[in-house]
Amino acid sequence: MTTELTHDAKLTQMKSVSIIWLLPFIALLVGAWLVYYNWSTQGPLITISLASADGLEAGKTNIKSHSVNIGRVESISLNDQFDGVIITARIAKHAEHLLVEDSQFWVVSPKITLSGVSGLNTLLSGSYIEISQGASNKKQLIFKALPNEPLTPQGTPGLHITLNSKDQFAYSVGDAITYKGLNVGRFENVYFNLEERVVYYNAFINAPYHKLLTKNTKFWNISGLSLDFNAEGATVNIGSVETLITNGVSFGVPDGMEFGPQVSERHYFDIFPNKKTADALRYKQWVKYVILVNDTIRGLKAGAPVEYKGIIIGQVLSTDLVQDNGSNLMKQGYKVPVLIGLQPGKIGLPDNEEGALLMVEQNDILIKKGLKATLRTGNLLTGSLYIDLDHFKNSLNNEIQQYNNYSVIPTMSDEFTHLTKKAGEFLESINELDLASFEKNTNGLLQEFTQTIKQFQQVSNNFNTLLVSADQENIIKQLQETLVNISKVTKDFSADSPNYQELQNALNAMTSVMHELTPLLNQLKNRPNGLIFNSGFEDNIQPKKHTGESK
Amino acid sequence: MKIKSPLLLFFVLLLSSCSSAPKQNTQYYLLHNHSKLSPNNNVINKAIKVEITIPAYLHQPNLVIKLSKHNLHFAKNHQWAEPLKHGFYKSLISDISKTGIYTPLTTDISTSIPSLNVAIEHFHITENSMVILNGQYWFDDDVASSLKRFNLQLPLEQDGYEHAVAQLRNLITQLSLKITSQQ
Repeated sequence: MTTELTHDAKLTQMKSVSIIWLLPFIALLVGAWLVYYNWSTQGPLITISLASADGLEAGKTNIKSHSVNIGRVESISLNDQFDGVIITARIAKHAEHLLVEDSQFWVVSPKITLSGVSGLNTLLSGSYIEISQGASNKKQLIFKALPNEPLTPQGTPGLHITLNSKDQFAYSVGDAITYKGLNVGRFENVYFNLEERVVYYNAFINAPYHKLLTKNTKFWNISGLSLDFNAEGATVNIGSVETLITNGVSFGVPDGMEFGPQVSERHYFDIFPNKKTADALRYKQWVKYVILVNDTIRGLKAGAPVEYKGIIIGQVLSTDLVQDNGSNLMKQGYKVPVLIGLQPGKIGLPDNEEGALLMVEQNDILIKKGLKATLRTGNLLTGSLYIDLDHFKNSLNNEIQQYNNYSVIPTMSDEFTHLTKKAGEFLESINELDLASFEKNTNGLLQEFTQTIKQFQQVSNNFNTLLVSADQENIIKQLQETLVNISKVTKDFSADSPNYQELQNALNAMTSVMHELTPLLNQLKNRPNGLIFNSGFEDNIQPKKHTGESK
Repeated sequence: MKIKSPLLLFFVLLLSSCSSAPKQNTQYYLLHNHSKLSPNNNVINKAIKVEITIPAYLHQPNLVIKLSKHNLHFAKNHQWAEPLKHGFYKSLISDISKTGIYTPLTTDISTSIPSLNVAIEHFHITENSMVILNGQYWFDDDVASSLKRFNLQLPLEQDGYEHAVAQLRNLITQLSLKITSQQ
């Protein structure tokens, strides 16, 4: 038997914590550190209010800036009024500086518009929210998203301007602004001033084209296709393919005009109906005159050119002058006043008050020497008129008439108008003729003439009958004479007439001659040389005495 | 030149030999000789017209001699001086008037005068040395009963055309006697 040694356990008390607890402690530290790190590095939580969360998804929709993810939508919920959505999104720490007061948010989704196609990449990746940094320094965490992508992202180099329009132009956001055919800007928004009754368009001109905008820059409408039939002919204007379908404006400095200083932000410009109207403002000075027209001014409208020896020196300003002399439009002999404006700059004079004064002095002298205005037809197709100033030496004016404080340029009728007027008077005189009595007299005359004709016809018929009978007697008589002659002739050649006998004798003689020639002809036929050589055959047959023997 | 002259002389002599051939002159015969139409004063004369028709082969001047049954010879150098029809007509009316029965009228005075029509079929010399005259005659006022045929022949008693012509003339005389004897 063996005995096992047993040992009693010696219990001693631990003096410290077990090392094993180090692991969870370390894990805890790591976890805490991670939490802290995450907390310290996470960006701010922002709130964006939208009209709709179409295409957005919590936890998946990204917030991007320049196509770089800077955040993510964490939750989407309806707002308190239940007419929109509230999106809560976490922005990355490094993009926190983008969250300022005027930063803009919008949803990027596929869009097809007249100006182009955008957001096609979101077809696969899904819609996202784009942020455009503002210029403000004030931080903000609650935003309201834009309904659409802004046409001009913030910070885009260029110039904002305001365009005014008093006419009927239906420009909308996104319409193009062109310069010599290039798209250089767009309409950003439209505002109608009810009190002023003016539509204001805020527009943005991209750099570097914003430098073209000066104080003398004019804007004009180039929407669609414009057809202009005027005294100078027909004109077709098209801006670009885009403006052909939508609307648009173009701008430029009128030819001959200096550019002037550049404009500042939100400078006001007027929109003119067309380039021609805009160019007309090249010269600022106007010298106004009135012409009193005897004839109709149908076809003459404001803007029609005023020419001097073929050079446009002004235009018609108004055809509906309000008169203050109490004259009646319906009064006979009424002369229609037409207000025209002449521009000193167009004839080489200075485009200022001094030039205007020089023009007035010059025109006064010319009017006294016979300068007159004539309404002429510029376009036969449309009937549009223009005013032509020319000298008429035979009609001098001692003094210049005044009309509503405007000097009057005397008028002279157009030859074509004069001709039509004469034709009209001629037709009127024909109308005034007493056609009823003329018709009555003519009818009576025709009836008498008809009766006369009938009688004449009867007489001619009788005469014809007489002639026919006479002809017949004559014919019969001639026939008789002819028959007598024929009988004489036949008698001369009848069987018992000497002529017949002579004819018969002649024929008999001819027959006998032929009989005599027949042997010779037969001989020649059988023996052509018989005339020269003896044929060797002689007519030796002789009748012989009858001997009583029969053959 | 020496060759040309003999040739020229030869051709001249040849032509002259041709021209020296004996010629045979044409003889012309008259059927009717000139004799007055002397009517027989003892006989009542009846005026008639005479119409003669001869066959086509006799409408030529040559005397005809028959050589065989169907062969005729026209004598080249023996011709009638006048158309045979005329000579036959003159001879016949001469002989008829001599009989004193009829007085042939040579001009057509009236169409009511009866007409003697003589249609000759043969009038020539035969191969038998005979002369023949045959045909028919009739009076147009009584054609049915007056139509008679005649066939007269005479022998040639001499040679030669002249005698033949004389015998042909005698045939016409026989015809006139026949015509007048049967009325």
